[in-house]
Amino acid sequence: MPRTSAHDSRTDHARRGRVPRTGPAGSPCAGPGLCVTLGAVPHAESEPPPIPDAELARRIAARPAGSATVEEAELYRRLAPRVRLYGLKHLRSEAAAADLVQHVLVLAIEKLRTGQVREPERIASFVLSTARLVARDFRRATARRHEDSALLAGVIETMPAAEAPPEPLDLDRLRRCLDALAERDRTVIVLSFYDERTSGQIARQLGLTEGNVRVIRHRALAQLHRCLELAPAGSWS
Amino acid sequence: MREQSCAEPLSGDLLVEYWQGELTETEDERVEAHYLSCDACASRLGALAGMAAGVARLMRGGSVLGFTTVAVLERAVVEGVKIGTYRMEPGQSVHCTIRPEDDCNVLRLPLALRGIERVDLDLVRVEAGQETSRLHFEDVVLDREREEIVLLYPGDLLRELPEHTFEIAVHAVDTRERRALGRYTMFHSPWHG
Repeated sequence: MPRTSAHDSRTDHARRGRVPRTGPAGSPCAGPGLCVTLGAVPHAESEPPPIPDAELARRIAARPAGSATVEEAELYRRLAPRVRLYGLKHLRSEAAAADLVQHVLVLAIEKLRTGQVREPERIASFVLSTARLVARDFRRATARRHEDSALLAGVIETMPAAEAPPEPLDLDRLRRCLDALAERDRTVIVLSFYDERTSGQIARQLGLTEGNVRVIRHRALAQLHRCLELAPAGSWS
Repeated sequence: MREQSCAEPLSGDLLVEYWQGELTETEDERVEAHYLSCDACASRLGALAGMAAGVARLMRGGSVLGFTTVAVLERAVVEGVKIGTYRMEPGQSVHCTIRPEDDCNVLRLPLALRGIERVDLDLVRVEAGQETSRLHFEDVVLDREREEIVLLYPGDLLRELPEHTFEIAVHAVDTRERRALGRYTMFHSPWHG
């Protein structure tokens, strides 16, 4: 499938999650509340807040088709990992999830370019609806994933290469963290994530209550997150 | 890169329940609508998904030590994990080793578990007639559906072990008594071909 590895106009701004502001450059802000132009910085030293997805979508829709390449690349970069998660959850395959990402985002950006997204500010909702439809098609094995229509080809050319999935965890470290769990906690984690069992199924297998399994799973995940230093404190505890 | 913050982050428990397929369709949709527009929560869900994938990879490599279920063994076999199986009845003894081609060994102890609240297991290692270690597992994980104790032992750990004997004792425990369910002996030798 023809794709460029990164569009030439993808700037450092986009890589940092910021997009050069539109409109007249250098217009002074009377105060933070008046700096409505996205990307404006109230204080030169501080990093500006990232531009919301909705604003990126609005800019893509507002410009001539294909000219908002920086915004398109940034929107793709943000949404790709989220759609990948949707794909992993519903298709249970890394390859299928990668296909889903490409198909859904190419469609979404094409629709934005051609003004077919009625509410660009609700781009996440549009992407979710599209992901549902495409995933359903994939499951029915009538997917259009190998259909490179002329309509889509123009969008594909300007998209960044699909980002590789995140680096897998350090398995040696994960193994040490698993070994450090209490026996029952480790069993519940393996039944959950390897055998893909729900808490109700695990409860029946092990002769526990469903509530007990949830408590064990919560405790085990909190310990694993701490051990792997994965999440900010409080997220799982 | 600085991530967008989240004013109302999804709880860790909700993310797990979503990932495990425990929510209703409506709840699924609510979670999906949130993380499709939220870098912070998508990132946390991604971490969970990565951990789940890591656990599965370790299992496929035969690298997880511990008690499990017959269903997990069956899945592992279907997925191509090479498992040396020792299935023992109470009172039995076996000679055991870890074959070069095996990822792990499994000890399977079928027992009549109905009516038994708790089972303890003692694992005593004996070398040259001397006890060298003793592990006591209180309230061990039981496969209640299939009525077995199933213990996975990674191949790399077994390959480090010298010739020795494992003496295993299993007891049913309740508030009134501690009753022997079975004794087993495993004579372990490194692989000699």
